[in-house]
Amino acid sequence: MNDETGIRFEKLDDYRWTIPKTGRMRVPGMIYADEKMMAHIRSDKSPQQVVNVAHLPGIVKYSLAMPDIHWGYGFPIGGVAATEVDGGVISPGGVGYDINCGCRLIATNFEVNEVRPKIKELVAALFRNVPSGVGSTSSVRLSRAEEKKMLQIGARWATEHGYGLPEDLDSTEESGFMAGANPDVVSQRAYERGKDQLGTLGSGNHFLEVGYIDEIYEPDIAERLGLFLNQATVIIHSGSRGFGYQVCDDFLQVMTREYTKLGIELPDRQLACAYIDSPLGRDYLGAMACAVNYAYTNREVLTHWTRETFEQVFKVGPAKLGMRLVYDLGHNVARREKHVVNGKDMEVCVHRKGAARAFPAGDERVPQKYRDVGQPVLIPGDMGTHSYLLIGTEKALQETFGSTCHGAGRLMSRKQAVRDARGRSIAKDLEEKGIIVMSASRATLAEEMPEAYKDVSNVVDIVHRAGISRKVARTAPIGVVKG
Amino acid sequence: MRRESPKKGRRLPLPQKAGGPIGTKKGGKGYKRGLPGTGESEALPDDFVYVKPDYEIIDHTADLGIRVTGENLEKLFENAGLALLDLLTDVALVKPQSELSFSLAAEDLEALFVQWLRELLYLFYGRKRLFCAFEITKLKDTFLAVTCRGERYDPRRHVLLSEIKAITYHELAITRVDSGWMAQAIFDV
Repeated sequence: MNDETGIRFEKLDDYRWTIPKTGRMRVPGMIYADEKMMAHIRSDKSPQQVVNVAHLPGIVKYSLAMPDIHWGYGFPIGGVAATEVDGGVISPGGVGYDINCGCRLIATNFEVNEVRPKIKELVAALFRNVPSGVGSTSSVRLSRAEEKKMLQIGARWATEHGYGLPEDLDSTEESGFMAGANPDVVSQRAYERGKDQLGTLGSGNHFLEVGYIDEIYEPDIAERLGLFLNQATVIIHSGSRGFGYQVCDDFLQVMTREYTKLGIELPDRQLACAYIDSPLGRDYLGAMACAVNYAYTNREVLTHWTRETFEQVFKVGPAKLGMRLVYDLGHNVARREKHVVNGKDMEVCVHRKGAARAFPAGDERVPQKYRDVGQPVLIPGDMGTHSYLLIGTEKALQETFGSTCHGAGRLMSRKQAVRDARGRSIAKDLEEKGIIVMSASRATLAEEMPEAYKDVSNVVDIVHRAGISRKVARTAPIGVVKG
Repeated sequence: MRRESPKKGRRLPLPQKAGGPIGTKKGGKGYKRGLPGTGESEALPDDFVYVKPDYEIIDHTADLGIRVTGENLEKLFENAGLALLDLLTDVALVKPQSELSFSLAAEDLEALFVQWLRELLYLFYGRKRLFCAFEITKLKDTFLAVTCRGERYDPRRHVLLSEIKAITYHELAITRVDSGWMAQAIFDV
């Protein structure tokens, strides 16, 4: 089967399509999708980006794409690529600008019927207490020395400074801290952009959502994770803010200039890269780890304000509320990980751009408290739709370097969404469905309306059926704060 | 979608720069205020009217782009800068209160174009500076010098329309057209 761009797809099974190696591709491409979704993916330029990524020096096995793949810059969003540490490259475009953008699921002791009567008040209070929207700044002000410390220790900085709880770290990917952070290779510009944004949600697709568990697929695992039907939940989706954007931009700029001198040929300048084991590659990884830690800390501070707001609105103490972090994970990260590649152990750098980790039970990289069940994976839907909690699988480890999808994926451009939303009040439409939404910007609401996204349920069904993660529970929103 | 100028007006003529040549540092940026001794603000002519630049928005699934033209390269760069600011804020509310001059170097014209827009983005997010007028005073394939007029971002007076994370190289193009030059760039939002 061919698309307009002449890319040949071969159907491997119901949920996997390969793109055979042609030209200078070093590995084949592999897209996880069903027939229906492929029809859409083919109309996009993202398969060409899967092909382009296959050109990266040191890439092993496949240039992978999750079903929420859409056209990004350089890498597709929903792209996964592992490069061999020995002789391979790291590409900042394979991480993205919003380094360690991710999400966390917080469970409460409350049932949805206890929250619903106060949802308007709660959303208004969250909107007031949690800085969101374009250009929002935080009340957390960091001196340079303090900012450097935070970049090195990650979310623990927050819990040591009264934001969040120490036990949150046990439920955060890599305990809320990526090793190897090197604040000395971070530019002045990144520090400037980051200094007043710690504890801000941001704009665009970032959100804070109050919802409840409306469906459970795996009762045993759900119980093990402390989840029950109708339980009130909170999802926070945010990243490393201007700090991360600047880190990515700084290194892309240098690598764009340098990579051709290294004799690397790439079909797209936006894929600019450096050898992992080179001064520039190491510097990027050191700066990237700082941004990863910034994002973990950011979500921890946001969690603190969320807890405080719940206490204010419901006039109860933390013990009664029982707001417990279920899991926090990023979906824009590159990590050095050990994987079995073609039957041998290999250290690779796994780029996940709009893709989440999904490690199975028993894997030592899964936090101790969940090692018997596997790593939880939160897949946020778009505003007004369901989100899913999945669990990692052995099959993911074998096929996708332990990766799965990350969200719904855009269907419409922002401008098209604004055009389509003309004459409608998105907030009112959602309120009629029982979802209270507050946003700093009407335009954001239109850009982010549910119709602008693929149906996250379809995306999740594909990764579930393909076996690269398993559905555990689903949440439905009742209140959303958008940037 | 084409954005038309809502009102007619004239471009504010930039004052003659006092002092020596604009500071240049290879690969770096030498910022320098245009009028020594006057600080951040200076007397303003009352008749300054900001003219919205003529540019096209490129629809891109996840991102946002611009397509601009200019009768020469200088105008092309100036218009691209204004188009970027127009996406960030309502430029009509930005007063030309102070001046900032700097220069940039890059390996080729495309990289210089990205560098220019990237610099404006940083000046806003890092230094809280908004601009309403640009004058490119020197432009070669690998070098530009510019004087920007605007003011410090004031959340009480200025509106922010969209957050732009970065300027990308994706589908970047600078081409000659009948009317002069055309450029397009995609922004990550």
